Amino acid sequence: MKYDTVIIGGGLSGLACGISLEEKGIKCAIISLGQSAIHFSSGSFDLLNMLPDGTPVTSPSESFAELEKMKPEHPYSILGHENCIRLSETAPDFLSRAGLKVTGNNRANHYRMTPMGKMKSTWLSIENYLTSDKMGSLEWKNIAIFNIEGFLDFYPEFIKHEFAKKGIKCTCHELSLPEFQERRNNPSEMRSVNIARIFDKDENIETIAGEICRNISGCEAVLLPAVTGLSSHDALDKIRKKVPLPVYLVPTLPPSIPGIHAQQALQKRFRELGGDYYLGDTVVSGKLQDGRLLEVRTVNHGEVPFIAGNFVMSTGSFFSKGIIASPDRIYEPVLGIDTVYDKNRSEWYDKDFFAEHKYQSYGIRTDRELHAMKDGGIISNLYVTGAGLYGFNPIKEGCGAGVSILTALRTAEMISKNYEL
Amino acid sequence: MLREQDRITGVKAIDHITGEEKEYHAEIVINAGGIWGHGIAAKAGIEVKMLPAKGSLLIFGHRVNNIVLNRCRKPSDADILVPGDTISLIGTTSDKIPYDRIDNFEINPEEVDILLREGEKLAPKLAYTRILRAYAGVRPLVASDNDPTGRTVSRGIVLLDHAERDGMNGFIIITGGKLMTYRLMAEWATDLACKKLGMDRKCKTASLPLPGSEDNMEDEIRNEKSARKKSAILRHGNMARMINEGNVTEKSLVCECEEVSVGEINYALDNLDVNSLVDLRRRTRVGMGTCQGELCACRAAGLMSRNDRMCAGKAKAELSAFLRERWKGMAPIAWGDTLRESEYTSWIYESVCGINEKKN
Repeated sequence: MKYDTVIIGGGLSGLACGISLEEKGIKCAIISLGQSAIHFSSGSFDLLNMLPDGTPVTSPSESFAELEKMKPEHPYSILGHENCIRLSETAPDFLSRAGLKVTGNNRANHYRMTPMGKMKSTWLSIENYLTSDKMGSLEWKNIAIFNIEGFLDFYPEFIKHEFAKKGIKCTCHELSLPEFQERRNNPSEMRSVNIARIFDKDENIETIAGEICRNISGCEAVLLPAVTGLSSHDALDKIRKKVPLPVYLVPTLPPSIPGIHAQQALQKRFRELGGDYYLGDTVVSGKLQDGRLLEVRTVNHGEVPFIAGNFVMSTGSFFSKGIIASPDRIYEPVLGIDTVYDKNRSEWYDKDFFAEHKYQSYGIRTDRELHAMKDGGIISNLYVTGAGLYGFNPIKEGCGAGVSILTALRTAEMISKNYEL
Repeated sequence: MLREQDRITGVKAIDHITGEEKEYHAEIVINAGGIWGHGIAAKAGIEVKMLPAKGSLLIFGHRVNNIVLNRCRKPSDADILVPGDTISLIGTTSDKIPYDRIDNFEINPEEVDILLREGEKLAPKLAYTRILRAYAGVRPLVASDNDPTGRTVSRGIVLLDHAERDGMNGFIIITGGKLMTYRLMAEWATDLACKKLGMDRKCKTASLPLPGSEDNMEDEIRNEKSARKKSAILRHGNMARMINEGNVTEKSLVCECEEVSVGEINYALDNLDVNSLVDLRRRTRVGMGTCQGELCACRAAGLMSRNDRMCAGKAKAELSAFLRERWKGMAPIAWGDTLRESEYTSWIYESVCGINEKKN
């Protein structure tokens, strides 16, 4: 099988790179094992929330230059602050072309609401989710929160507690549907995805909206857990037509419906542009020669190799098995390309769970153009993007989605430039 | 210690739930404080020389063996593989630690490596079995009274009447021993207390069934088709009958790894003296399975905050404390799938939920 570019990994970064390349007319294949980290996301994309020295970031576009000075090995620093500003400027339109309507921009972070009721800084939020421009400020004083009876991954009491600190009063209610009762014979059925399948049905929306309307006297807004929008994308619109108050969604614990929705939208966009998405396949080996990757082989395609001019490694970090930790080393399992980590295992962690752990920044080493390296030598047609990269802490710096998207878009630019030459 | 001349007449204690300081008076005070017994005795001006010995062990993700396997050699590191509940554990190491570190000790990578290396000799399968966590405790070894160097150490049960030994009346200590012998230790201590009180009563602990083991549940366990209910019986014995799973919510699973339902959590919260997530874990195994509390910890905290059982602020603080406590046992073995779980747990709680209770 021959492609212009083969991308290994079909998560946020692999898809962003594939879509961007296809938009430039470059023929791509994505080889994906299946689930990715987007399935567990919050419904928002973070660009940069904090500098490595702990300074909070209010304007990512104004902070990239400082980050570059502070941490030269950071993927953003490798891209350079001008590229970061330019590419993050294009991201909302890029997502919008895939059918993902988002609010936010790279000049000023806004706040999203977490499943625990905390306001957390972010870059882009998918529409319909509760956000605010200012920390802790919402325009309402009385909010009605509706949970689904038996749903354990959404916590109205926690939200109520946080809101009380801001002087906002919440009343908590539970919605029940006959169809849920049947489901409950299997005790693990009451998870977000299964609930969404029932919630989104037209006949149930009628009941839900009615139940909401009966419980909102004296309230100014309604909050629902994000258990809608999986099979039908206008379920929330239908509820909004029937409920006379603003209705917003709050993300739940995983699996994340907005995350799955984003993954599906990006996958659809990639396929519509002509990309081939090989789902449920795993790359097992590659042939390297004279500083170039010639082909990769997968489980499903056995002896038939994927041949391409360029390859992109977007396999993610530990969670996605893009990098693997054994007791004595941290390695990239497919090609054995170079990684960066401390040799001494006791350096990998902090004793406190909530502290910064060095392992979170370990990953694949690249040159200043995101080329992978093997034994110190550059592989000139293999690029690395996303969570597997070395040099950033997605959790502490709040930059995971941004690094995934920007390194992907930049890689697509560099690959397309190769074709122009 | 409340003391009148050569007699201990009671104790002053802090109630950790209410924060209240209270005095308790009694004819006899029994010091059963384990390794902390040394400090308790010191409060009465008595020296019981203890030699804290840290023992570390590794806990594996499932039962590798169904009977205890012991190496036939002189006691040494990692020579016993013990099945328990849903796991197996290999132990232990033995390292003397100074008394001032009994509340603050760590498991170091060398100990983990020894346990794995020696453990594999006992069961080669351990080399590729998922390790859930490492654990360490401190044994209350007592130095023999007739050896001032402290070299002669007893690993057996130590029962001392401070009246005879130190001329302090109304005060005895029971220490040393093992978890395996705790009821025998209780019997010895009770018998001595009765003797001192002039009571002639037989201790019943050897014949009295523990709560939940009054009825033989073997047939019910065998015939039970629901994995959830079977797990609950294995944990609570006949007390599992008190778990209410009548309504729709109560059947939902809080913890998939250990099959703990909302009903079982509610039962524990209302009947088993649960004041924290750690208490809840000990009663139900919630958070003790493969994922080490990834999602169930949050669900359990959510349930604690419902129905006014606990205020939401305290439940959230409990959640952070619980995650810290889980990490303590995971960090020493955090590679492979354990590191994947840890990275995921950090995403969920810090990035998605926005919890970051960094210690200052």
